[in-house]
Amino acid sequence: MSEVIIGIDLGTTQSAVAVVDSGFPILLADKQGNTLTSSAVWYSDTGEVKVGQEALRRSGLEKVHTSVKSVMGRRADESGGRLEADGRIKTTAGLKLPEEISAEILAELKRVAEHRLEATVSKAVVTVPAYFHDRQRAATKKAGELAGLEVVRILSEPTAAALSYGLDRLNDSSRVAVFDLGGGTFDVSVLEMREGVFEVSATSGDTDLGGDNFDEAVACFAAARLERDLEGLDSMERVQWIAEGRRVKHVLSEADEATFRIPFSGEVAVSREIFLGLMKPFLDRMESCCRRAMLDAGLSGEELAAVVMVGGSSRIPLVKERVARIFGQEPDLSQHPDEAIARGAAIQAGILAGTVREVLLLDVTPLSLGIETMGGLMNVLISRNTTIPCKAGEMFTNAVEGQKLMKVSVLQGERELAKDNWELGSFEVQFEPNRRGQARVGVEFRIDADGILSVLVRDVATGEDTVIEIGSSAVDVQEAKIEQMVSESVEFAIEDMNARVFEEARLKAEELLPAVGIALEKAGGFLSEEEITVIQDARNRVEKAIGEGLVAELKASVDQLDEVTESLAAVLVQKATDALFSGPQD
Amino acid sequence: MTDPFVLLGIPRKLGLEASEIDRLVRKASQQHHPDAGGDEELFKKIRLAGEVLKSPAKRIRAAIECEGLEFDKRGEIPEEVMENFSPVATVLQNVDGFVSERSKAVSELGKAVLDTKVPGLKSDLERVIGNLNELESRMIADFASFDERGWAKCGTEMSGIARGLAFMTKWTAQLKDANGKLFEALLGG
Repeated sequence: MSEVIIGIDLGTTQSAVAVVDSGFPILLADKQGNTLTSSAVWYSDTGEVKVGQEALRRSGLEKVHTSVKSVMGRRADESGGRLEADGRIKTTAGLKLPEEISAEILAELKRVAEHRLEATVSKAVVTVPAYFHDRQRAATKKAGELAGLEVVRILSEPTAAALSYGLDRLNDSSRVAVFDLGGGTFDVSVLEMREGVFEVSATSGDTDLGGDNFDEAVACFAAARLERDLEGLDSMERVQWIAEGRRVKHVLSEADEATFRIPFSGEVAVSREIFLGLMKPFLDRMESCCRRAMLDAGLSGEELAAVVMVGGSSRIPLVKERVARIFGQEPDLSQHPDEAIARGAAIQAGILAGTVREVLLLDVTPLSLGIETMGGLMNVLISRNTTIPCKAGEMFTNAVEGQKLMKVSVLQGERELAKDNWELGSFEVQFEPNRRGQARVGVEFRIDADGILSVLVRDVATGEDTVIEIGSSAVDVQEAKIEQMVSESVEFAIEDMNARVFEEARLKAEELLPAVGIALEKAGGFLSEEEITVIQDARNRVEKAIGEGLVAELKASVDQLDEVTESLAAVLVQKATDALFSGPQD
Repeated sequence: MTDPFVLLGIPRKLGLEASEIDRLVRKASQQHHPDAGGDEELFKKIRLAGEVLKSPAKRIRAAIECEGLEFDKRGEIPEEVMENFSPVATVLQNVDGFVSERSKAVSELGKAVLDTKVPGLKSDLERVIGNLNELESRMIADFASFDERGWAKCGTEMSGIARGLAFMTKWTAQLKDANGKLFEALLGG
């Protein structure tokens, strides 16, 4: 018998573990008979750990860690204050990384599986939101390792749900959308199933949108009515208010009205209509993701054979109604909302273990991968929705004679300007000293089947590959400014014809060019000859770039002109201020 | 780069049916995916080859390179393609302007008044995308003639078309993105 690989759904609010038995995925229950484990962890000051319901039982009395998934792989500045500066969480047992806390949940699920299977388990497939980026995936993999599990695959949640849905429909040839709204994250994926191959065509989502947001919205509303401020409550009270918000949300799935009730604080009636008002912004964001995925897949709702809904929040009638409206068809509710993802993970585990042979999954990378190029633009090397594993090569050359080092920033995201994307980190490429444009280094970007990136530098002379570390993205502005990067794109020099960036830069140039003339006339006398030459050179560069229609060059030159005229602008402002505060000129 | 035609076992022709390419790529993916015991590097190469052949812009570029012909990526762009640059830039600018104004609007009425622009923007987008698609179809229709005349004799002409198609692909993607941004602006994505 081949080695058992378990499938784990590591959710924001609850988790589950499953395994394929005789070709069919089944969930494994703990000793109490529960197939779902709350994603909650409690630490005592003596190092004791409790996970799941046992941990939750202490909430309201002591600090219990929940929704840790939402800060996995994040930096302190994007954690909403939940992470300390070094990216750790304060616990009774000391500072811990989110992956260390998640590892406790995974270890618990490992114990559940070992108990049920009566065998040692050392390998797992773990699911993550499809929209998780590289860092978040890597952190999840790390959590598995810490729990003593080799994570043989990081699998996207909606894709897992699609496997669960499609296992009984292997002879169908159809396109389906999977809508996955969980406790903390939202994903939507469009897949094509044909001859046992499940191919993801598009995926979109929001890693900060889920049931937790709705609970909080209800609690917030009630707090406002009771003239309290949710943010002003202490953490124990806050937990209580949000739990009550959740209860009200659940009641409203059945009834038209519910009462929000906190002992000694008061009561608030919440009607379904009020609830709709609270939900609207979230429903709108959801719709926006769905439309984006359909646009990417080049499909309309009518072309889909089914819209499969999973995730605990797909039980909410308002969500179902909105989904029906977006896709123009009634959603398919045949999958168990809390169990489908774990089942799908088990199927993928079966594929990897060789026990499931009739299915193959082709997943995609959810976000475009690129590098920062001249003029602060993002040059996409691997576009979103590319099937993984995949790779892309890029050739770099020296911008100036004798240049030895070049800094390359690696980005993930869909925006055209580099600064608007997520910076995964940066690395340095070394050159042999050579004439301008003569030194060459090939860099290969690889995304593996887990959606995790690695970068290889190839020495063109020896053909030898070196794996390089992508440093943490501590931003060193000075350095970023000095190091200029030139890449000889394998693709076209498309950035030169980027209509949007050209237009934006042209507008700025149109404002700057005449302003430079006027300003020099009025305040040129305050500048040194050298400064004036610098400004005039920059102006000529902009005019030349407009004439030749070069986008990257125009953007870079306009930014330069903006920068070198800073002191000129300061002089003008000073003159205006002086005039304002001084008496009448004599 | 490995010859994508050879890698997928497709006759070296530019005039190819998209559905046939899809079928071959799927078959090869199934066979060579690492999860099915295939070679990962070969799988990646096959997917890249599939992407190249599915995109008319990349396919013609690959044909030029396979033939060992000179390709200048900064060469001239066909006039009929350049005619679209200004309309593309204008409509993108208009959409960006709308999105930025919409995000700043604070009153429901203010938003509603701005939203009256959406149908116009949407039809502008669709018109420009339509023009690009139509032009692309016309250019693809010429592909078969290169097959007949032999690639070696049409290098310059093919290079121009390759450049033009690449720009059009980029513009179409930007326009579709702009379409998505309209949705996001209305829905607060």
